[in-house]
Amino acid sequence: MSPLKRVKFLNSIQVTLALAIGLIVIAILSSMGWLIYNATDKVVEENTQDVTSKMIQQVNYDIEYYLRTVEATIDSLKLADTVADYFEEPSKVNKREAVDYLSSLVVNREDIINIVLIHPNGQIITNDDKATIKSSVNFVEEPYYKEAVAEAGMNVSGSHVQNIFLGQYQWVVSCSSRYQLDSDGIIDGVILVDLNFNLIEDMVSRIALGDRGYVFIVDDNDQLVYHPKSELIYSGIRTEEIEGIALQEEGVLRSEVEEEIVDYIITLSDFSHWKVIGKVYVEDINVYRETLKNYFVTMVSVAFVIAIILSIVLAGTILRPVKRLLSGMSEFQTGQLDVEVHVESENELGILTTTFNRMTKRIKDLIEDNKQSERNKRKSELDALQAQINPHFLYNTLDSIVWMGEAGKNQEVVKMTSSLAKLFRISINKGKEYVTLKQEIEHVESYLIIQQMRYGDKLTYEIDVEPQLLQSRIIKILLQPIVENAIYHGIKQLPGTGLIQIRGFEKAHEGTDERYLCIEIEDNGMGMEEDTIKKLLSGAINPEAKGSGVGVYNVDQRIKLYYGDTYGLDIESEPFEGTIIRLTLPLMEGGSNEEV
Amino acid sequence: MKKFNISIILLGLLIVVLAISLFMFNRLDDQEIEKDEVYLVIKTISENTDFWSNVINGAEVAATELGVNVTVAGPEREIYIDDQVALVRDIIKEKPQAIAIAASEYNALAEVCTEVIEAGITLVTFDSDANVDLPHSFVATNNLSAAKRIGHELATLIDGVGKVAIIAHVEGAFTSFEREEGFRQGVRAFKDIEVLKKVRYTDNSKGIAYQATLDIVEGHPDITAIFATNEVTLLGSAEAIRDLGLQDEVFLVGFDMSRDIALLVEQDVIDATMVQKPFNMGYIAIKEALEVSNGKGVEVIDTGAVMINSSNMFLPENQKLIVPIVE
Repeated sequence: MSPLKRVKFLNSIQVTLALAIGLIVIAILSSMGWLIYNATDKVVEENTQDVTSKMIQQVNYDIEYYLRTVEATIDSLKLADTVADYFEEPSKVNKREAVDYLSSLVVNREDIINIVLIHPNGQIITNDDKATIKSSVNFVEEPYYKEAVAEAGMNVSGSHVQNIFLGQYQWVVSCSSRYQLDSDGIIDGVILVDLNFNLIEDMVSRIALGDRGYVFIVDDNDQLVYHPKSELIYSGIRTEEIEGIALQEEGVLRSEVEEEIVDYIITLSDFSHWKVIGKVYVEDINVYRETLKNYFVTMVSVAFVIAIILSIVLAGTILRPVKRLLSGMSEFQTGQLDVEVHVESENELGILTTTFNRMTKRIKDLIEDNKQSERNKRKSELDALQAQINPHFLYNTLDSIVWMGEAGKNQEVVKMTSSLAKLFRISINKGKEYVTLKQEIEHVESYLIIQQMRYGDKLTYEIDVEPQLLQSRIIKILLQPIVENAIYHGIKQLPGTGLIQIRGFEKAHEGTDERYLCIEIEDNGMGMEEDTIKKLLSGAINPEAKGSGVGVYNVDQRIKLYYGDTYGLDIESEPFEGTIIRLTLPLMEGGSNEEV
Repeated sequence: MKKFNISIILLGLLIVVLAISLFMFNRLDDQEIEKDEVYLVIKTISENTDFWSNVINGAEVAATELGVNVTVAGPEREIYIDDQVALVRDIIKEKPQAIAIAASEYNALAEVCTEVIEAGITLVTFDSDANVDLPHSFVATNNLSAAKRIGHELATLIDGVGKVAIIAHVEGAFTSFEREEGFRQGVRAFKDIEVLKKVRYTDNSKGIAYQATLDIVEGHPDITAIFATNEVTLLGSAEAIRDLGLQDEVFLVGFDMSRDIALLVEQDVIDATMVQKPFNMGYIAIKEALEVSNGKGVEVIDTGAVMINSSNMFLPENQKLIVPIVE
């Protein structure tokens, strides 16, 4: 299982990243949405209230302005001689003239229904002399008379059907003002001007506030002057928060009426004492809410999906080099030192990858170096070991020379001594590792000569090396340890004459042209068991044991250290038949040309 | 996947987000909501009575309040019953949410009203019901009880003694029948009151009502009182009595109100009249139509009536009933 697979789905960086980004997006969008939603709510509500108040205030101003022009009309009436005369003494004025005067004022005014001069004695005169005045009406008892008398200035009634004239049913607003001839405090009469209520209704009925809101007017007694649903109010089907409105002079009154939250926007006219009130259904101004909410919900979900996709893609881009790095690392872990991870970008991950590559290379180099130095160390150890001449051998040889010298065998002494010198010279060879095959043969021959002289007829040897190979270069002291081993373990115990044959020849690897050097050392000695061969080659023999054959193992090791594992030594042996030890070596030209 | 592909994906996503944003903002601007269609079928559109104008006003207020579109339709004259039937058939094809119908005739409208319900349209009858077995709401003055009240009032006025005649508007019209029946129930308790068996029908014509009154007075010189069942009939009858100079001798009560009737009430030619609340009727008819179509159960709603005489007609709460339209 690759280490990547071991990462659980939920723990993977990709999923974590996706969830984190998704959560952040949702958190941000939701809180923004919530804020905007509420802020919009507040702003819209306040704006609506503001705009509505201004509009309604304007309506109130318009009505007030209009009523002031009516007051001006009444004031101008007060200055007219006809009016003064009438209030002084009704019989003093010519009725025809008075009617003409009053109707001249009304004729161009659509808004004025009629003008009535009411004398305190109950007599009246109006602009319309054709209309029948109801006999049942007692003018001085009517509210428009009494209220005008009670207070200076113009009194404005609520809307009502005027019932002065028979058969006329006009909706009017009655404006009345008391008349005083002089400052004696006695009221000399009341001027009544009936205004067409239609005009006032027109000012307010067309104003729509939201889908359902509307404007209505109450007078200073909190009676409805105008209400678009007055029939429903009087029938009790609809209600208004009249009590709350009565308590509040101006401003916004939020109230729950008929299970709905409404804002009453109240404006008061100081002149008419009317309150013009806008009724706004809060739900109406918030109609955008649902859409806004849908909008935000959609946006949040879309953003969430996008965030997830995006983070998966982004995480993938970031993680791809990480994954590669990881698989590179796991390969490296299993021992593949040649790993090199491809660098995709120059970002941090690129740098990480490059660093990783550099690191693996460095480690690989270090390991190689280490191996090399180990090998070198071992080589020099083995070389040193090989170069050593067995002191017993030297002692025995010198002993033999002494013995031969005493016996006067000068000829033999010279031969043995010169062979010994040759042996040493090649062994030392100025510390060089390589020699020519020729030198190596000379070296082993010197050794054989010395041994032959010591053993006499018990040992013979033959050397047969292809002449073209003599200049090949090989590491020194390869053959002598083998020969030594053959003598001590093969021939020494042999009852008859021992023969050692050394053959050098070229050989090709099977199926290739690549050639190599092969040197065989054959003896007709005691031979070895299969088991002993194995021990010998694996070095598993006791190096302390006498004539242990460590030399053979070391030769093999040295060959392998110098030339690699393809080269080395192999042994063919039959007990009591003899042994062939075969060295395979690379064919190398140019050994040391020095004279031996 | 190479780097530039991510850029393309990002760009694509950005475009998608922008498109959705624009779409949503457009929706934000486009706040127009489809309004439900409700038809208001009245008995006449050209016999320009305050009653129907006021019904329409009430319906329009309800339309604004409830956020529906109300379309008013009706035949030229109240007696064109077939026209009203044909009109309703045409409206059914429009597939509105609901139809509120003031049936010109109880039986003639029965079939087409059944068709309305069968077409899956909410039916509300108002003012005058139709002979429909299927459940539907009925919004009207409770004519029976209102007529009973005025019958009782008249009996009190004549001290429980006398001969009373009934002049009714349309034979077979439900309101006509109910008012006649209610009136009879109202005076029944008074043993000394004789209600003439013969009911005169005016076919909603003032002239016929006028003539019928003359006939009654001629045929029954000892007549004590007359009950006229609707606006036109009451006016015709009142004018006849005024013209005969009998306003102090013959008591006249009836139904409905107009400016002409108001004057006659003020002059005491008409001693009392039951005034319906047409504004409320129109308003409630639309409201009920919508509520029923939204699943509310059907019911019969009494919109109420007010008895008006010369002494209470100028009270603030009654003025709008007498002069509903500001001119």
